[in-house]
Amino acid sequence: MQPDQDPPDGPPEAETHGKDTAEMHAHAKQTVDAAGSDVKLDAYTQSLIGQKLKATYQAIVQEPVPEVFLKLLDELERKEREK
Amino acid sequence: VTQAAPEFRDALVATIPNLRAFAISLTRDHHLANDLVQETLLKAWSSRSKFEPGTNLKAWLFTILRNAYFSDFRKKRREVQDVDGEAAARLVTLPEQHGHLDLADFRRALDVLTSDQREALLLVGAEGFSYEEAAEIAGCAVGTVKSRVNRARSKLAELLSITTVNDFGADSASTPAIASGAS
Repeated sequence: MQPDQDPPDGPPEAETHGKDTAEMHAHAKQTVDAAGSDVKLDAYTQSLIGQKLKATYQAIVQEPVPEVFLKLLDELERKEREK
Repeated sequence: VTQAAPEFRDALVATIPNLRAFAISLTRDHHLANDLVQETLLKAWSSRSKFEPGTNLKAWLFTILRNAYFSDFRKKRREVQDVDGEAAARLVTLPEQHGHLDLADFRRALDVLTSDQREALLLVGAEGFSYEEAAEIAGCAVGTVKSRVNRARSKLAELLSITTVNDFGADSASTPAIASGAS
């Protein structure tokens, strides 16, 4: 199920340096008021923010899982087997 | 019906990277995040009989993690809600960096959001939960999640456009004030 107001997927590039960033600023300036509150951003700006958010988040998701979690679950499963 | 231990274990393992990313995003502290994930796994295992196989395990786990964070772990760290302070000031880029927005800039902008806004944006925008699922996880109304996501996006757009103040000739003394939204 997808959010009904999620921004459309933008271009696949994770990085949006240079021209894209400048364009994003220009779009944002046109649509965000001084308080930055409940203002509807244009789809392009939302898409760029979405890309940055996903890239930032995925960088963490792809970090190696600490071994301690696997050992913890192994231990929990082992204890249950022994019951 | 309680899911068999091996299957449940495998399902938990598959979700750990996402739980950890969400925990790190909430706590902004790797060590605290790992403690939070560990507590989530322990709680999930001990409450396994309450999980209904075939339903959304990831949402169930995120709810456990989120509740653990807001009921306990948040007290262990100092909340940074300094829209007028350091985090916002750090977003101001030097003139030679103008136009260059990297992931570090974006992470700093995320830090400026309120906890509620950041949580809603991460659940919907990064994890791909629907507004309804995010509302269930966060324990609030769907409309509240939509509003938080919208405000988070607007705030990010505002913060990330700070670099453009240099276009208007702001000097190093006035730029932080502009960046923080001071009038």
